[in-house]
Amino acid sequence: MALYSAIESHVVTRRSDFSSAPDDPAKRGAITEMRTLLTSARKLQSVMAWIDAISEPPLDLGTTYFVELAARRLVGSNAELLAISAEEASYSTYRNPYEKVIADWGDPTEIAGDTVIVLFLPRREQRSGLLHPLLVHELGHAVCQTHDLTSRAYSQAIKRKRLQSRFATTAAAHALAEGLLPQEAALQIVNRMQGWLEEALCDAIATQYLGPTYLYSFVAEVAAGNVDRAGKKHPPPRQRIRMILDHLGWASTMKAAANGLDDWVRAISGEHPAYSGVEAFLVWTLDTVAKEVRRRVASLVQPHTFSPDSGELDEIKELLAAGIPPAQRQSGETINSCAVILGSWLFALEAAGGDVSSIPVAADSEELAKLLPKGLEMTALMSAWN
Amino acid sequence: MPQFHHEDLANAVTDPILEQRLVVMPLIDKGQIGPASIDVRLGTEFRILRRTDEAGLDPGGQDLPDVERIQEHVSIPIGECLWLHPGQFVLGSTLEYLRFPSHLSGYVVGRSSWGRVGLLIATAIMVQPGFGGNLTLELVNHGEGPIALYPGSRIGQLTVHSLAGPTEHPYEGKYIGPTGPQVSRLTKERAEIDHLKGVAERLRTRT
Repeated sequence: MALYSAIESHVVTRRSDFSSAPDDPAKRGAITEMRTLLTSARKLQSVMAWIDAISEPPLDLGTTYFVELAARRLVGSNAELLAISAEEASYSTYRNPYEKVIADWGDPTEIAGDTVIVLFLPRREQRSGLLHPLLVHELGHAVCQTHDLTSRAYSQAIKRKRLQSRFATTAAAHALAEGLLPQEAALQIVNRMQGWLEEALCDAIATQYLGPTYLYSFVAEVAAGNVDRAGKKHPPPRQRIRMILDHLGWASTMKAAANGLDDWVRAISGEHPAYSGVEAFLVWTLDTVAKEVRRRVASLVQPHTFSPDSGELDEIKELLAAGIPPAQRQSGETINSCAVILGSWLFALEAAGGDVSSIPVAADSEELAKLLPKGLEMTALMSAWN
Repeated sequence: MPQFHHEDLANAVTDPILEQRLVVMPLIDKGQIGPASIDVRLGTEFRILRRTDEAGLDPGGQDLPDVERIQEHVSIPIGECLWLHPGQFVLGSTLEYLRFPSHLSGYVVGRSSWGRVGLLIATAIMVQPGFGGNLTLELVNHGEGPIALYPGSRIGQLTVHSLAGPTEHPYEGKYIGPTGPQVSRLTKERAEIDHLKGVAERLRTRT
């Protein structure tokens, strides 16, 4: 809506310029400006056809309320969200995607107050409510940009003497191996390091906000693939799982519901495969700065940290077992929306056997596809009621 | 079947044993419990009949997916409204997920304030013991002008009745656990319609 308001406001100004223009050349100038505006608007429309997704939102109302609340809490009260279901296999984010096009108009100040976040989710996972916590990781990218988290974390990390020394050695070896100039090799490593740092920050944001729920959703997304594959911008999933577990303090509260899965997660995060070259440096760097990443995120997300309550989780599981969407405890108290998702994960994992193979079964549960969104919708409504 | 009064209703919705509890999820405001009924709110999901090239709804001739295709699913967030035009019919549902234990039954009826503007909210008003789900409402505007329907507003009232004892045959019908308005499952009664056609044939050919 901010975009439309900005366009409307711009048009009003140009109309006013036209009516108050003192002579023909000035009127022609105003018309030319209107034409420029029209061209820009067409360009905007052509590059952003997906904005039409706003008329047919891919997320149910309950998940929309949940993600919007997370966006306002983590990014800022002016965060505006648009979710789009895409054919791509993974989740991604854009922040203020039209900023550049509007900047061409020469006056983007009218929308400067809003942060527009466009989230893409895989179409095939549109109804998999248990995977939607991954959207909070995606919001993390907008948090990083808004609060300049990545560059701050990078600047802090690069001050470490040991890191500087290993960086220099790695860059020199990389330049030699790839036939690059030393500056090019260094820049490539810096870019990857910032990408990995940002992923770690986003994982930490999602873990702080969602608790163990994020671990389950993340494992569901990566369990079937190669957990040791290091991406250009993504650390290996095994390392990320280890960092999430460290963040959670290796909580054992989930062991009862999913003993086998719990063992699997601990076992894979306990192994440290050997990497070489740039990737060895990046894995080491991330392990080195992990505490700093958590500390930085904790200070930002602290007021919204989710701490599971076992009594609440038991009530949620009992309600789900009876086929009732969880929103309210027997006492009448509203159930925490993060607990609704965690309780749903635990219920589904328990029902599917609790080992690692129960993850995809849980994520595909038809029953939860009905009950979870309803529970989220009702908790959102109740918490906003008074 | 004695009808529950305020105190009975307040106890029934907070019964510590889930199996015996009259579940009204969520009961946003305790003020919804009246002298002898519980106010229920309008949910956010609707099913609206599309304009299509289908001749109509024929439970004897159409499959369930055909019936679902004719009725478009629409979500209206809290704060927005759905305009119901004179003569228009849409399916809605209660905001509350209800579950009746096996010793209780109920009736859902409109609130008079809505009735006075011409709104009918339900024709199949009986709620069977054992039923669980967001209750589907058949919303019809019988008035002369459009009516704005606001999700979250109190639209109906539920009376609750105690049976002589728990039934051993709680509801296990076609509408189990809906979380929004459900289209008619009359197509599942095709066997009955086929039987009627058989009866007609026998009536014609009997000697």
